[in-house]
Amino acid sequence: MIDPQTFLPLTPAAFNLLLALADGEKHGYAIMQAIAQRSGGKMRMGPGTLYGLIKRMLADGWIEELDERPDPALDDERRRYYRLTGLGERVAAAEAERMAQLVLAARQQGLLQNV
Amino acid sequence: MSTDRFPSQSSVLLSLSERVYQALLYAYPAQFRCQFGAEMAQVFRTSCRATYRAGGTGGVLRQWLPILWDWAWTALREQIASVFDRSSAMSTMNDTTIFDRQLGDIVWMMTTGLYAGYSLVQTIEAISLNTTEPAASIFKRVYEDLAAGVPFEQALANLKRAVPSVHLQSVLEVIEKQRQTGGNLAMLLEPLSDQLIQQVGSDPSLYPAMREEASLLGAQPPERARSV
Repeated sequence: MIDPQTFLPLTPAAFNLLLALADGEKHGYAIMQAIAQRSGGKMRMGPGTLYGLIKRMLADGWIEELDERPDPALDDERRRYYRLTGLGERVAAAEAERMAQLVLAARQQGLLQNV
Repeated sequence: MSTDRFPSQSSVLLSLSERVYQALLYAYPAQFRCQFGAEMAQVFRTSCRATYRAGGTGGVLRQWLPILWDWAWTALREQIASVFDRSSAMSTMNDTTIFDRQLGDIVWMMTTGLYAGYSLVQTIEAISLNTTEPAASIFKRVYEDLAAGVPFEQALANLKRAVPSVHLQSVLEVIEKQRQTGGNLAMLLEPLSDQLIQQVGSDPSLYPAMREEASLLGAQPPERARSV
């Protein structure tokens, strides 16, 4: 089993994409919206960045495409849905742990007194 | 491409924006465009309409600046990546010819292992350990992908991308079809093995280790295993 630590650190865009899929499968536009909402509109991912990341994550086995759309009756059939794989979840968790340790270090240095 | 829910002036703006973005997609490598172009255009279209509802014509025009930056940067990056992919594929052209000559015997080995009750993943591991190059490295990569938790379909897609062989593609299509519809994979692969050996030939250097492994997998001599 591959150690997810070998992939760290992730780029902010990659981590945000994994976070967007952490609560379930989404299509491309829903991923973009989830990222924009989570960052309060500060991070807006364009289609090129989004699908470049999706291509690499599919190849690395971090995400997978769903064979069937969750609700075909209410959805555009051209949309493709993606979800995290077990490896993708482990990579996202390892990155979250790495960032938590950084935040802890910042707090210990007195940089986060008001947070 | 329906824009009839918008006033005519904005319909023109949205329609024009969508056409321009569709044209910009041609800057991406063909393979990337085939895989994601339609989705990217759809995401742009949805995003454009949402921006128009929220910010009107000015919003759509302002959206173009980050879109153009995203397009220029990612098209360049994907083009560079595709050049590396292509040069890597070209360096394996000779390997592909050798691999094609190994493939019929490899499929036979797979068939023998499956008849003996081994899983497809176990036979892939056995092939990676008991064949000569380039097959050994190619199947080792597949086995490592699977061991790392990469889904089976994705591991096969990676293999298909790494080895530009039409013969391998026909083998993978049989495996993918069997996984979708069921059936006895060994029985489906067996005629393919004979067909490949007749069409492409075989690689004698592959035999010693492989015959030994196949006989171990089938717990019987290769000649007997082949006739099962």
